[in-house]
Amino acid sequence: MMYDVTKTLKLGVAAALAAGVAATDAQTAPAGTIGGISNIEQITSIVDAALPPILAGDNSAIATQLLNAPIAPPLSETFSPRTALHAVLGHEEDESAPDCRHRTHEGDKDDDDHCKGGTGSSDGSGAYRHLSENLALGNIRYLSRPAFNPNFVAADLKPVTISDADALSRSVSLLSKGFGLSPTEFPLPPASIVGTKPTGFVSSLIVRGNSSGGDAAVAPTVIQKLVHIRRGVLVNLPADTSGHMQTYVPAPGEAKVLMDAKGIVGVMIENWRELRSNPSANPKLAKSRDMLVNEIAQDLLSNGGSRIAHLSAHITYGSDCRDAGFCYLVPAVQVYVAPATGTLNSDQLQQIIAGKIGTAGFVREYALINPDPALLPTR
Amino acid sequence: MGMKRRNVVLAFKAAALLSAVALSRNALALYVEEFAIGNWSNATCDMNTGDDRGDWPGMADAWYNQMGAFGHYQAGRWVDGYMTKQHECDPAYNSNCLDYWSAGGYGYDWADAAIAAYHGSAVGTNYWAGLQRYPFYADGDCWVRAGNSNQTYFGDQWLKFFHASSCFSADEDTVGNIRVAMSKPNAPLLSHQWDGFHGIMWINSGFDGNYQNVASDGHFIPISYAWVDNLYKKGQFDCAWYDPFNWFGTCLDECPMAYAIGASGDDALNRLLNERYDFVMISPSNNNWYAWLYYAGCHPEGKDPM
Repeated sequence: MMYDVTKTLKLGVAAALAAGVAATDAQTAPAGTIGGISNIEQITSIVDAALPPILAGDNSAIATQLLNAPIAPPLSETFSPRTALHAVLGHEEDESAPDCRHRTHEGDKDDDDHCKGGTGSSDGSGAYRHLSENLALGNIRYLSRPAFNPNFVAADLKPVTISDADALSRSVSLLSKGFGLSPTEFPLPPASIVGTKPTGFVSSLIVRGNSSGGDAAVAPTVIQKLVHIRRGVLVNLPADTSGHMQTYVPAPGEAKVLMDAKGIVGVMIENWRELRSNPSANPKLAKSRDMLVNEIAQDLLSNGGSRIAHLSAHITYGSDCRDAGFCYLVPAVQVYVAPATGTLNSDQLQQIIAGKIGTAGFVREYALINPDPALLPTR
Repeated sequence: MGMKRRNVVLAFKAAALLSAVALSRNALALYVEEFAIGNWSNATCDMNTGDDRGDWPGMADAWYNQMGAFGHYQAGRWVDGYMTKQHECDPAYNSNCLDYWSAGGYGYDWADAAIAAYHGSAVGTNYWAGLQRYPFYADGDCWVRAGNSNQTYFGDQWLKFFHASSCFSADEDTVGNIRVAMSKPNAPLLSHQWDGFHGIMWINSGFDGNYQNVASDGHFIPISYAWVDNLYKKGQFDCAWYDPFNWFGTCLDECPMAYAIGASGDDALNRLLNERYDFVMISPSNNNWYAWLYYAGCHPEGKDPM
C-alpha cells in the first residue's frame, strides 16, 4: 500500500510556507551561546517552550493515531540475500570459498551477524566484499573494498560524479527492490512541496591533504556519496495553529548506501527490526502536556541535563523489543539538549576550558503513554 | 603480561621497521584501551551535575568490547575513577606523565588502538583539550591537551589509532596541528591515525551500535571510513518540532573526521584510505603531510559548517 503524502501535506506545509514561518536556515548559524546551569523553574520553562505545540492537556487522540499507524512487513518476509547480491553486483554471488567471517571469536551468538556471501579474504591486502545479516536485530550489511595499491598516488583518486538526485533515486530503488525495505518507511519529502530538500538525504565524502607548511595540498575530492535514510512511519499528526505539521514520525532503524565512482560499495541497514503496535498500550493513558513537562524537567535536573543552551523536542517512536525478535512501537517524545549552541568563537571555547564546562549534547526519550496499571506485575 | 608483550613485540617492531609491507592481523593482535568519563560531579574538576553524561562510557565500551570480540587484547578499561591527564600526557612535557605506562593499560601510548570519551573544547586553532575528573598533581590542570600543546605525543611507544569521542577533538580549525601530537620529536615511531569530531558531538545509549560498528567495520574496510560512515549523523539534531527529518533545513549534524599523517601527500592519503585494524602499516617516517576525511558541509552545534 502506498500513501499519498502530497495530499496529506498540502494543507499543513503549504500553510506554513505561506505564513513565512517554515524554516530557519541551519547554514546561517547564530553567534555562539554557552548554557548556564538552570534550576527546576527555568528547566520547566525551557521544556514547555520546546515541546510540540500539538501536545495538550488531553493527548489521547494523538496517542491513538500513533498506535494505529500503518507498519510495513518485516525484513524476515521481504529480504532475500540472493536478491540483494544481485542488486548490488548485477549477478548472484557464486564465487567459491568465500571468507564469510564477520566475527572472529568462537561461537555463534544471537547478536552475531550471519554471512550470506562474499569474495576474497577479510585479512590482508586483497579485494574483499561480504554480505551479512541478522534479521532479528534488523541488521543487513554489505561491505566492500578494493585491493590495496602500494603505488597509489593522489592522482588515482576517482571523483564521484553521480548527482545527488540520481544517488538518492538509485539508493531508494536498491533498498526497496534489492534489500526488501518498504519505501513507505522512507520519510522523503514529496517533490511537490516547495521548500523541502529531498537531496538533503545525500552527502558527499571528501578527502584532502595538506603539507605541514601549507605550501602544497591535495585538492578536496569527493570520493563517495552517502545516502542516509532514517526510518519513518507516516502518521500525519495534526498541524499547529501556524500550519506546521509532523508527517512522518521517526522509528528505530536507519539505512545507508555508499557509492564511489564505480558504483555501490556499501549498504548498512541497522536496527530495522520488525515493528508491531502494542496491543496493551491504552491511548487513554496518554500523558498530558503538563505531566510530560514535569517528567522531563525533573529528569534533566536529576540526571545531568541542567546545562541548557538549546533544547528541542519532537514526537518519535521508541521501541520495546522482545526476545521473540520483534519490537513494540512506543510513542514517545525525543528531547535533544545542547549545552552550547551557535558558532562558538575562540574566547568562548577558552571560557569552556577556564570554567571546566561540559560540551557534549545528549538525546533522551520519554514515553508518551503511561503503562496500564492493570497490566503491571503484582505480587 | 605487559612486559611479555613488550619483549615479543619489540622484535616484531624491529622487523616491521625493516619492511615496507603492511602487517596483517595474523601477525599481531592489537592492544586496545578505553578511557571514558560519564560522571564528573562526584570528582573535583567539574562538580556540576549538569555536565554528567551517564551514557557516554557505554558508547566507548561498545567499541572496546567489539575490538575484544575480534580477538584484540583488552589491555585496559578506565571509566571515571581517578582520571587525570597523567594517563595521556608524555614525559617530554612532565616527568610524572605516564602515557607509556603498561600497568593495567594505564597509559594511552601503551595501546595500539585506544578510545577516549569525555567533554572537549578547543584552544583557538591550536589544539583539542579534554576534561578530566581530577587535576593532574604535577601541573594542577584538569585538561588533556593535544595538538601543539607540547603535552601529548602519541605513537612514540605504541598508539597507532586514536579515537576521540569528544567535542572539537578533530576540529577543522585545529586540523593543521593534530599532526604535532602524533609525532614526538626525534622518536622513530609515530602515531598513524587520529579520529574525532568537528564541533559538538552527541551522547545517547542508542548510539552504542555505531561505535560497535566502527570496531567491526574497521576490520573489513579502512578505519577512516568506518569512523566517518558510522558516526556521521546528518540533519538529526536541534530540529524544529515539525521537522525531524530535516526537510526544511532546521536541523544540525554530527561531524566525524578521520585524519592521518605521512611523509608525502600520497603517503598520508594511502594510509588514511587503507589502514585497518588488521592491516597496519609501518610507522610513518614523519608528519610532514596530513590528510583528512569528512562530509562536505557538515554543520555541527558549536561550529560553522565544514
